[in-house]
Formats: sequence, structure tokens, C-alpha cells
Amino acid sequence: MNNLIKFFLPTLFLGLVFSACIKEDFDQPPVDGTDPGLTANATIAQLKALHSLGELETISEDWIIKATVVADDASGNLYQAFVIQDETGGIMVKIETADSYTLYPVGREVYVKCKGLVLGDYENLIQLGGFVTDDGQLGNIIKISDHLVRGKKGTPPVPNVKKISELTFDDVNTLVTVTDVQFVLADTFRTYADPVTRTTYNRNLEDCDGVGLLVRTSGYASFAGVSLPDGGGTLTGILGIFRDDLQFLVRDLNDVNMSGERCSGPVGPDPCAGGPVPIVAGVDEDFDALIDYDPVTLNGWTNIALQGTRVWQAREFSGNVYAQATAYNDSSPTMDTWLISPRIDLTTPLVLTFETAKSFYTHDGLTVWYSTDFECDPTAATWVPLPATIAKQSDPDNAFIPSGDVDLSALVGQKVAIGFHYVGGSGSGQTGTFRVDNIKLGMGGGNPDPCNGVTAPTVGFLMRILRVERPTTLLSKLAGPTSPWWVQSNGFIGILVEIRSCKLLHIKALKQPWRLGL
Amino acid sequence: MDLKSLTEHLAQVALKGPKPQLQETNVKDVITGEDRIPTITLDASDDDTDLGEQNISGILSASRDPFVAAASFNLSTGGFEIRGYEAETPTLFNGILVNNLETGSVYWSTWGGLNDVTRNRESIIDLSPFAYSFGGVGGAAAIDTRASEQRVGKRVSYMFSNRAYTGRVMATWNTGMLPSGWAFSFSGSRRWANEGYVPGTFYDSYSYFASIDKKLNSKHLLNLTAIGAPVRRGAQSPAMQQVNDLAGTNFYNPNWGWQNGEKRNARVVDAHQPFFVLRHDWTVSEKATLTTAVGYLTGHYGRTQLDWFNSPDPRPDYYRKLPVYYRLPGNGGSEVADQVADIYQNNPDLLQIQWDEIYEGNRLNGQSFNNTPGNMSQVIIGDQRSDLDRLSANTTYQNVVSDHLTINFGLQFQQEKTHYFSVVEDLLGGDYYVNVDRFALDEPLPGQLPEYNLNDTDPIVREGDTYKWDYDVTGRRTGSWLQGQFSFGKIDFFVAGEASSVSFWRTGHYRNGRFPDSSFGDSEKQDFFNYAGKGGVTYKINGRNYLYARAAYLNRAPDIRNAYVSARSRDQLVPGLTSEEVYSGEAGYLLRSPKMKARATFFWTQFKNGLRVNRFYLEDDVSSFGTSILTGTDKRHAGVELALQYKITPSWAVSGVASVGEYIYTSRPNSIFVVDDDGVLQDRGIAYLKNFYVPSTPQTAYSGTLEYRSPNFWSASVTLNYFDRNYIDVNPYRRTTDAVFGDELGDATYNRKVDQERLPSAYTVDLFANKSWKINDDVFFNLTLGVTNLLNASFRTGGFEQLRFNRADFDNGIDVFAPKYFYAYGANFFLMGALRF
Repeated sequence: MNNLIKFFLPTLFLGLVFSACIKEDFDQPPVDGTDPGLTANATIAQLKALHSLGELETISEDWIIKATVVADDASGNLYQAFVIQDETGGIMVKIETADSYTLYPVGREVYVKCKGLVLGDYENLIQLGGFVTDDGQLGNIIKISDHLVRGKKGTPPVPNVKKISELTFDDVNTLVTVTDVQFVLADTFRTYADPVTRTTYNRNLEDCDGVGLLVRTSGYASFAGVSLPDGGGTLTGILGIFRDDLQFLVRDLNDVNMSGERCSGPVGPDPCAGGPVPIVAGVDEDFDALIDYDPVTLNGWTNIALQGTRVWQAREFSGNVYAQATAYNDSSPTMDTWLISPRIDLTTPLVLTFETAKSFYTHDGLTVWYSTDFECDPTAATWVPLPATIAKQSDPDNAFIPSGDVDLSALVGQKVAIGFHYVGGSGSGQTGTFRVDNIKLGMGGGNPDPCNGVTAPTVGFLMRILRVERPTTLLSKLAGPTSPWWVQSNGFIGILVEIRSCKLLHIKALKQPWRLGL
Repeated sequence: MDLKSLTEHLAQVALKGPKPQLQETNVKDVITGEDRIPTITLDASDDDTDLGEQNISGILSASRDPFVAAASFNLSTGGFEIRGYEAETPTLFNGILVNNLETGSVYWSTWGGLNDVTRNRESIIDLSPFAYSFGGVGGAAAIDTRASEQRVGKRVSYMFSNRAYTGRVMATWNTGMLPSGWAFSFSGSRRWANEGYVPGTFYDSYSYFASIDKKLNSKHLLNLTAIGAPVRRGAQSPAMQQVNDLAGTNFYNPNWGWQNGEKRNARVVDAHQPFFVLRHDWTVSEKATLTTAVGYLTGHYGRTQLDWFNSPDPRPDYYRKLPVYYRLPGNGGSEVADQVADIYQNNPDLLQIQWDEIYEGNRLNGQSFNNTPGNMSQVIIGDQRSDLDRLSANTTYQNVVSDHLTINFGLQFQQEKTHYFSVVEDLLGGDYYVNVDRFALDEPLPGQLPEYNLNDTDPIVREGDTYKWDYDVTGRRTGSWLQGQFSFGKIDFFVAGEASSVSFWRTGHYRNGRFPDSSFGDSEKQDFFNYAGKGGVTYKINGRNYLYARAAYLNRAPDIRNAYVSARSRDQLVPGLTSEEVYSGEAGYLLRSPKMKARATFFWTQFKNGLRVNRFYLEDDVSSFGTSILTGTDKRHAGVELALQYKITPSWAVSGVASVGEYIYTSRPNSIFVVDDDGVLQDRGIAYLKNFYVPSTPQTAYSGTLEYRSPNFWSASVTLNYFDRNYIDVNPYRRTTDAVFGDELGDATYNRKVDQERLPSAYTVDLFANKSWKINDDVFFNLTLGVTNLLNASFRTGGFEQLRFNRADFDNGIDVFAPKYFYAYGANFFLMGALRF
């Protein structure tokens, strides 16, 4: 027993206190990265100087660049890429890994071991890649660890604050803030991009000087489905370029500081900027070429807000598209908007018909007018009410009520515009909704072709046919009589294949239209 | 949300782009865990005889060590591993080393269910000298199956249980050495369960054993042993706690689903690996013996699992089907998540595999590949085979040179080839499947093709065809060891040394489209030469009190399983493949008095330059598998073991053991990822794992037993066990600077990400009772009851963080890839009747 006490108990005691005595604290990974012990011996400007636009250069210099990540792929607006910047400029890095923000987040210092990497550009946007693909393109960096060494937490470059007009090519791939900007009125009804079809969109930014800049957002961005702000302010992001055009990339919504007042002065675009609206022989408009939620934009038609920011909007129900105006949930206290037809040259006595519907009735918000002196600015024209039947409180909701035949024979010899005028206001509770559809003027048949004589050659092979609205832009006609028309419509870019009707085009869409950066 | 809309919702979500996902490998399988210990766990009862021989130094024989007994019988409930080691025990079966060269482990299932004839064993758990091999840092074991050494007689037993199997019959007949010089031993058993303790697990196994001795003359004994255990059983896989909660049980098993009113398990182990040993014992002289044995093991080992192509992940616990996924703001938020949870709670069968949907999909999907007629199955069951052929030869020589010196010497040879391949087991209603890599089909990289086997131009596979991978890994080990044990009046001491060489290579039978240049044919051979030494001294204070101290140094080849980045596709080696070093020391005190036996040992082991390799599925966008490699992993296992046995009266005895250790990582390993797509090594930098705990064993464990032995041939005991300081396995990536970049050091998010989860402590109570009846002079009946975890305590015995990690979601408090846990069985029992005649 003696020995037991002598040896056993001390050992027992040692055991019981054991864990308390020896163990040190858990390891803690540092939150500001680690210094890899590398020294930079070149700058991004030096690197970019090696590049000739349109060429691919494999870097043989033993250069190490130290830069800070200014844009990553956390929001999904960049894919397999991030942007780094040092005091001399910025460059985009193409990397094979998705979710590279877990390794190269904004604010982290990165040492780039340039030797063996390849410089290239995508339509003038200089990029750093890893290899030259079989078809002569710039491939992503695959051997990431060999070239992109992560460093400590850096001081993020302060965005260069500029007006749109002050941006230069030197600002490309760097962090900039543009001031006094707003999205154009029509775009304030839109989202950054389309998260459902994953479609990339360009949206139009303008500043109070009227200078424009495209804001380009991927359909994969986490904020693709967010509505564009309808106020004004500043926007921060990475400046990009496509050919000769600058474009802007928002990293995430923290970059958007646009809840302030819009630019003072006339709201929206000058309706007379394009001159007097066209003169046509007749009107037959069912709005079916428009896309749900888009503002009504049709050749020759005027859609303008006199108060507030809202205009007439295309809506779709059961396959039927119509024009709708409503002050419901409008952020502006009052709404006053006109939808005006092109000027119709009344050479024969014609009859006007259309349909209207209402829902959530609060007031008689819709009135219909004609003008014989309208050219482009509704406020400068003289408007006369038309004796048409318009949906009223006692009509059932959502039912389209025929206007009855509105005889315009008294106006023969004049150029007549038909105006649909909606007035309401969320401030006054006058938020009722009105809809207009199937506006026809004529005697049936013989209406002139509103497609304005556009005919397109047939293209033999179709990759993919899209049903799109009529083109808002006919981009170019390539040289040669049989070359196709390039069209842009709702963000799709493609070759015009066929005009099925003046509302339905078939285009051969490019597989990745966003890559064109238009 | 009703059931229908949920199903549609799930289907839509699933269509959004989940890519096929295989299981994380190298996770601890509950059933494998069971495999490791069945002979011990279930047969504490019939360990009624045949305790091992005394060791030469006179130290308490290991197999009598109350510490080993308690660790094996009582503490295994809580996942306790002696000294926190894994697979550190070279084991000899009738003279043949049976540790797998690839993993270092012993696959006990090879001879499971034959407890009557494998009981004859010696083992050490420390650095003591051992007569049959050099041993490992965790000791050594040797099982003797010679017919002449088996207890003469016949024995029939029947056992009920509610564990992995519910019934077992066993019959054994041992003749002993007959006057003709022959001895025979035969044993067979059958184990079965329609459903074991865990839902959806069945068990269906036979075991057989035959051993024949022939005494050639007084100096030569020949033995031939054949043993095998064909088994089919359904496996359990661990799940996230939230799924357990939805299912209402911590034994939720995602592997089964209803089919025709029966529970069908998708993960079935089917194995039969017969093992033959021819052994020769030569008594060279009165003092010298030479034992030589040749062994051959062959057979098949397969594990099935769901596999799929162009289909949403069919596994019921796939994360996109779980409420937590809907909790993400982009997927609906907490309201939707609660609705989804409601639906699961009201329809628990939705948490199981939907076999009918799989069959319907495969029959009606209208999918084809390369215009091949018939329906291409989108979901199948594949059988992942690892068929082992092993040839071994061992020689052990012992010479008691004098009263003061005993010499042991041994030679060991082992060559094993494991044929790894994957077989289409069941097309589940479709007509064929394809041998094409879906991931590579999606986004081929330069120079890569999607075919798994470029040498076979037909990608169509049907039931019984090999697909996905087909290769051998061959390993060869030769070793020799020498040991000298010296005994003097007050002092015993020993020294031992071992030298060994290990070679291995991979032989690809497929030319993989992604790695056409590194997948087919023989790879470069890897050679390692290793050596080890140990020694110790015992000071005999008197006949009852001993002091001892031992030390060892081992330098050992890496486990072959860890050597290849992804052996399934190519022969690329893990970077910096080097031998691991082990330094170990122990010192203690031993008391042997008539009434009391006690032992206290302090141990300290430093592992240096270890490798940890895990395979897992990466983010959806990368849509690929990856391998996580940790190089330069150092560990320190240190602690104290205490054991005490005290006879209060001839009938009453108490015993207790305690193990208090600190098993921690002592280095910051380097973390490397390899994506299967391209094979490029991505350096993820330092994993800050220093001072993290080695996971999944309680580092504090106590067990105390009170036993009563009646002179009337019955006994009963009650045992109280306590487990604490058990930690879960961590995801090294969460402890890199990348994972916490920009966090606030020490704030809640940081700590939640970095800290290692400690499992709650637990205690269990076990009961054991045994009664023997003498029916006549030659016939005895023995009834044994064992109850484990009598109080039905529910507690975790281990767990692991998933290697998949989404930092943004995690930082926002939504852990889509939460840890998975292993639970101890609740109250469980066995009742066994045995007739000996």
C-alpha cells in the first residue's frame, strides 16, 4: 500500500490536471492574410505596355506585380475573372476557378508572377490569361497557385471620382465613381438584367449634362432582378470598354448611391429631340410586339411623362399585350402621362376604334384626345377631347370596353394625332389603373407598311430563332448586297433572318450576345 | 404548400442545376466502425477462458490488463480509442500479418462471427516487447487458430440482440490433439437481421472456419486454416442534425427507401474474402522455435451506391432538398423553409429514397445517348469494388538463449493487389447507362475528352459492365525485425529494431479521357525504405511493484491510399510524399498484489509529417470533385492511463480505468486542393490547425465496474462509463486565412467558423450477468445477458464538418453544409445461451 501511495497517487494527480496545464489556445488564422514575402518589380502599366491590341503575348519577363483586387466575382457580375489595380492602372485577370472571391476578394493584395502568363484583349479590354487556346483565344489561368499569390489585406484604391465626360481609356479596369448620374427615364422601369433567362443587359446611364454611359450587368449577378434606381446620385464600379465604347460594371448594390433627386430641368428626354414624329397613313396597334413590363416604345409613338416618372407600360395577360397606366405604388406623388400615336395623314374619311379597360377604380383617370397641330411636344399642342366610350366605374374590372366608332371624317385633310392621357397620383389616392388596346384607324385593308420598308435577306442556317419585338436599333448593314442586318432588340443581338410580320421578327441570335458588349 | 407543390418545387429546384455528386469518401462509416469491434463487443460474455500467456518480463499480460478489457468492452460505446490512435496495431493471424498495406487497418469482417475460434489471442497496447512482431506505436496483436490450441469439445450457442444483427447461431467442434497426431477444429455461424438497430439496415452473413493440425513428429507441427465470412448488409450513413430532427431520430438513415412495401437499402456491402494459412511450427530445440506461415487471401468486396447522369441528385438528404437550403434569402427565406420542414415532418417517407420515382424516371425519361435504342437510365446503382488478392509469408524465430536473454527474430513478406473497379449493379428500370464523365461533357478543357475509357469506343454500359474506373493498386512490403530481451534480478530490459521496404504502383485498365497520359498502364513504382527501433527497461522494486519506461522511434511509409491524388482517374502523386516519423515514449508503475492490481502509465507520442487526404465535391459551378490534401501534419498524443482492480472479498471486486489524454495537432499543415478537372494543385496556404484536437475519440474517459461472483456459478456486474472532451473533425479550409479574410478577429462569426466543436460529455451504465449450469459431467449450459447503455443515453460519439463550405451563407448564419454526427446506440442488449458438451 505504501508503494501505491508513493507512485500511484501522484500519477493520478498528474493525470487529472493534465489537460488544464499543457494545452495552448486554438490556432487562429489571421484575418488580414499573410505576407508571402515577395517583392514587386513591375507595374500594371508596364505590363499593359507589352500588349498590342488584338494580339496575344506570352510574357517572358520575370516580373512580379503587386496589386489589390478591386472587383471580384462574389455578386456574379463577373465570371471567372477579377480585376486588380495598382497605382499605375488596372487589369482584368481571367481565372479558371469559379467563386474565386473566396481566394481573391476585394481588398486583398495579390502578387502576380507574370512569367508564362498571356496578355490579350477582348475588343480592347486588356486581360491577363493563362494560355492560348486551340482556336487562338485567351484561355483562363489554370495554374493558379503558380501565378497568383495571395497577400495581406491591402488598402483598397480610392475610386477616381469623375464626370462621365471626363472618363478616358486610362480609367478602364480601374475603380471609378461617376457623379451626378441617373438612369434614363425609360430604364427606371427595368431591372439591371434578367435573372430568369440569365440575360445580360445594357442600361443607359446619363448625367445632368446629358452625357450617356452604358451600365452592363450579367444575368447571373445576384442583383440582376433588382429594379434600377429612379433617383440620381453617384455610381461606383469598374470601367470597361467594348471596342471604342466605354461601359460600366457595378460590383454590387453597395456601389449604387442613387436615391437622391434626379437632375433638375425637363424630366425625361426631350420629346422633340428626334424632330417631329413621323406621318403615317393609318394606325393598327395591338401592342403584341411589346414585352411585359417594358415601357411602350413603338416607332412613331410618343410615350412621355409630364409629371412624375411613370409612362405607359406594356403588360401581358393571357397572351394579349396592351398599354397600361397606373399610379399604384408610384414613388412620385403625381402622375401625368401621354401615349400619342404618330401623326395620321387623313386623306379619306376614317373611323377610329379602340378598347379601354380599368381595374382598382379610384377615379376617371383616362381621357382620349386628338390634336391637329401636334408635332412632338404634347404641351405645345392643342388637344380636343374625343367622344369615345371609355371604361368607367360601373364597368367590370379588366374588361375591355369598345370605344364605339369615333368618326374623324371632319378632319380630312389634316394630320391628326390621337392622345391617351392618364392623370393620377399616389399622393391623392388616385391610383386606379387604365388600359388601352387595339387602336385602329382606317377602313380595313390597304394600311401602309409600318415596318418602314425594312426587308431583310433570308439567312440560310438558323442556330436559334427568337421571337422578339421589332428592332429598336438596326445596327448596321454589312458590306455587300446579301449581307444580313444586325439588329438589337431587348438585349439580344443577332442577324435578322425574317420579318414574319411587322411585329414579329426572327433573328439568329448570337450564343453569347453579352460578349459583344453592346 | 401541399405535398404536390413541394414535390414540384423540389423538382424545379433540382432542375436548376445540381450536378451529380458522389459521397464524400474517407468518412467514417458507422458500420465499418461496428466491423472493427464485433468480436469484442458482442463477446465480452463468452470470453470465459483462455486468457493469454504471461509476458516474459513478468509484467501483467496485456490481454489480462483491465485497461484493455475496459477500453474494449465498456468504453467502445463512446467511440473511445486507446491513446487516440487509429490503425497503429500490426496484427498477426495464425502467424500472418493481416494489416492492409493501403490503410494499415485490419478488416475484421474477414473472419467475423467466429468468436469461438479466434479467441486465442495475445496483444499489447504499448511499446512492450512482443514475441511475434516488432509491433506498432499502438501495440500489436496475434491470434492463434491452430486446432490443437482450441479448447476441446463442442459448443452450440444462440444469441438474440438488437444491434447490427438480431440473431446469431454458432456451432464449434474442436477435437484437440488426437493420438493419431491430428487435430481438427470446425466452426460455423450465421448472423442475420431483417432490420438492425438502424432503420433500413439488414444483415445476412455466414461464417466458416476449418483448422487442421498434423503433428509430424515431436518437433514439427503443420497447420492449415481456412476462414471466411460471406456477408451482405445494408449500411448507414450519417446525416446533418437538422435532417435527424426532421426525421425524429438520430439514427436517420438516408440510404433506404420504400419499394414494393419493403425497405430497400441503396448502400449494400457484399463481401466474401476467404483466407487460407499454412503454418509450420518447428521446435528446433528445447529453447528455440521457428514458426513459418504462408497466407493467401482473395475474394471480393463491394459497396453499392446510387450513381446518376443528367439527373438531379436522387439522394433524399441532398442539401437542395432540405429546409436550410430554402432558408437562403434567394431561395425563399425562412417562411418557405418552415413550410418545407413541415412537409417533411408530416411525410417522413419523403426523407427516404423515392425508388418508384427513380424507376418511373428511368423507364419514361425518353433519354438516349448517341441514339442508342432503349432508355438510358439516369439513376442507377453502382457497385464500387475493391477486390483484394494478398499473398503473405512470415517467419518468426525465438531462442531462449539463457535465463538472461531471449532473442526474437522475424521476416515478413506481403504482396497485395487490390482491383478497384465500378460495376453497373442495377439499371433501375432503364436499359443502359453510359461510361462518360458528365462533368467533362459539360465543359471540356483543352486536351480533355469526356470518356472514362478511351480504349473502349462504346460508351454504353449495361448491368454487370465495368464503368467509371478500373485499376489495380499493388503494394509490396518486406520487413525484418530483431529483438533481444534481457532479464536480471532487479532489471529487465529489451531492445528491438525493424527494417522494411514498401513499394507500390498503380496499374490503370482505363485510359481516362481527362488524363489520357497518366491513367493507363503501370505507373512509376514508388519505393520507401523505413526503419524503426524501440527499447525499454523494467525495474522490479519487489515481486509486486514494478517501474518501467520505454521509447520508440518509427519511420514509416505513407499509407498507399493517401499516396495518389485521385487513383480512380490517374496516377498523380500527392506532392511531397514522404515517410512519416513517430517518436514515442511511455513510463509507468505496475502493482500486482493478491488483492490489488494497478497500473499507471504516462505516454507521449509525437507524429511528424503525416498526410491527410480527403475527397469531396466542390461548388456547383465548378461541378467537379476535388481532393483536399494536408501535408506536414504533426500530432502529439500524450496522456495518462490508469487501471485498478481490487478484490474486496472473494466474491466482490471493483475495477476502474481512466484515460486522460491530450491528442492535438502540433503543426500548421499546408493545405492543397486538387480539382479533378485539370489535376492542377491549388495551394490553399497554411491551415491553422495547431492545438486543434485530434477528433472523434473522447480524450477523457472513465469506467468503473462493480462485480459479484457467486460460488454458485453465476456472476453479475454493473459498469458506469463517462466520456468527455470528444471533438469533431474539422474542415481545414475553414481555418485558412482565405476563409476568414476581412473578418473581425475573435468576433462571433470568426469564432463560429474557426472554433472546434466539442461534443457534450456523456455517461452510460452497462449490466452484465452470467449463469452456468452443469447438466452432467460433460455438459454445461451457460446463459449470458449483456445490456449496454441501460439508461438509453443519447449522445454523439463523433462527427465531422463537411469539406464543402460556402463562406457567404455561413457568415450569414445559414450553414447549408452543417456537420454530420455519429450517435451511440441507445439501450441495447444481447442474450446468449451456450451449450458445451
